[in-house]
Amino acid sequence: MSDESMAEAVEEVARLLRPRAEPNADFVQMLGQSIQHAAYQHIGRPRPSFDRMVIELRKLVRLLCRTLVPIQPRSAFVSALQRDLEETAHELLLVRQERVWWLILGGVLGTVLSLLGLLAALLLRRRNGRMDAKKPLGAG
Amino acid sequence: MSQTPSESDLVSRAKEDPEAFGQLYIKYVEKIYNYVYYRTGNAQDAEDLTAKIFYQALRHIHRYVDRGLPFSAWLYRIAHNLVANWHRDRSRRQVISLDTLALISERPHPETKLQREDDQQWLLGIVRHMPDDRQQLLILKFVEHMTNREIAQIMGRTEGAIKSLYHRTLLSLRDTWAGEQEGEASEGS
Repeated sequence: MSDESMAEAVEEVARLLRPRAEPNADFVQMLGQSIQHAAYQHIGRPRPSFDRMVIELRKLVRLLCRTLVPIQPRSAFVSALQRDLEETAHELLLVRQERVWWLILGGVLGTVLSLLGLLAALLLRRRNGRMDAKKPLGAG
Repeated sequence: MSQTPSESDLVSRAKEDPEAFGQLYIKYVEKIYNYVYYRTGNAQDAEDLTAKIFYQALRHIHRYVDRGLPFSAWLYRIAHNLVANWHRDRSRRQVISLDTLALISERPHPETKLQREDDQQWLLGIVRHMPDDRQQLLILKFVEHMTNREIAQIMGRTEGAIKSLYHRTLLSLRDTWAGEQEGEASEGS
């Protein structure tokens, strides 16, 4: 066997002996927690064998599947609630639209009043300016 | 389960269009009803709370902001808060669920079926006494058949945290179950 082929064979064996997969970090953390939990739970009690625990967990999951099954709500309830919700949605929409109109109206009124106030202030200032100009220089 | 474009459109239309809101309602009413039903344990309260949840959603949908999460996550959050309020109010006055009474009184005769229903009743009782997050996880996983990723989005946690919570929930249920069986065995002997 040449040196090259020997090196290849050694490399192949090393490849075979290398672990094929690294455990998932989440899995390691979860396993650690469950072992800790199980140890805590079984202090003072004989710990069940791993096989027994797996069988019990499988039974439990089957029982959960049988017990927690989807339930159909009454169709009368579903359709009545849909009708009420759509009616309420229409009313809410009208109220919201009305509120928007009031806001727009308020905004417009506010702007008009501000402009009128500004105009009044300008007119007042101009009138006062004229009156000041009409006063004789020596007066006051 | 990120929000698909059509759902995103539907949600934005629902802010102005009652019929679009009706379509969202039809899409989610069964899921929300199921969630509430298993959290409350009776159909009457489930109907009342489901109606409250959708009315609250309707009143606040114009403030809903799409942050890339499914619309259902928002609905489940409303449901979660209202169910928590319901439990708080109810804890002041103890009431036995009529559905539970009906199930107990209508037990069929065959022994195996009886045992199976006993187990289911027992499990439902245990689940309803678990912390909120564990109940929510079990309902979303087993009733709604959601993936860990979808549950993580709804519960606002990472996928790893959900896996870990699921594992701890199963172990705690198993321990309660084993404890119960040991108790029964010691009573029988």
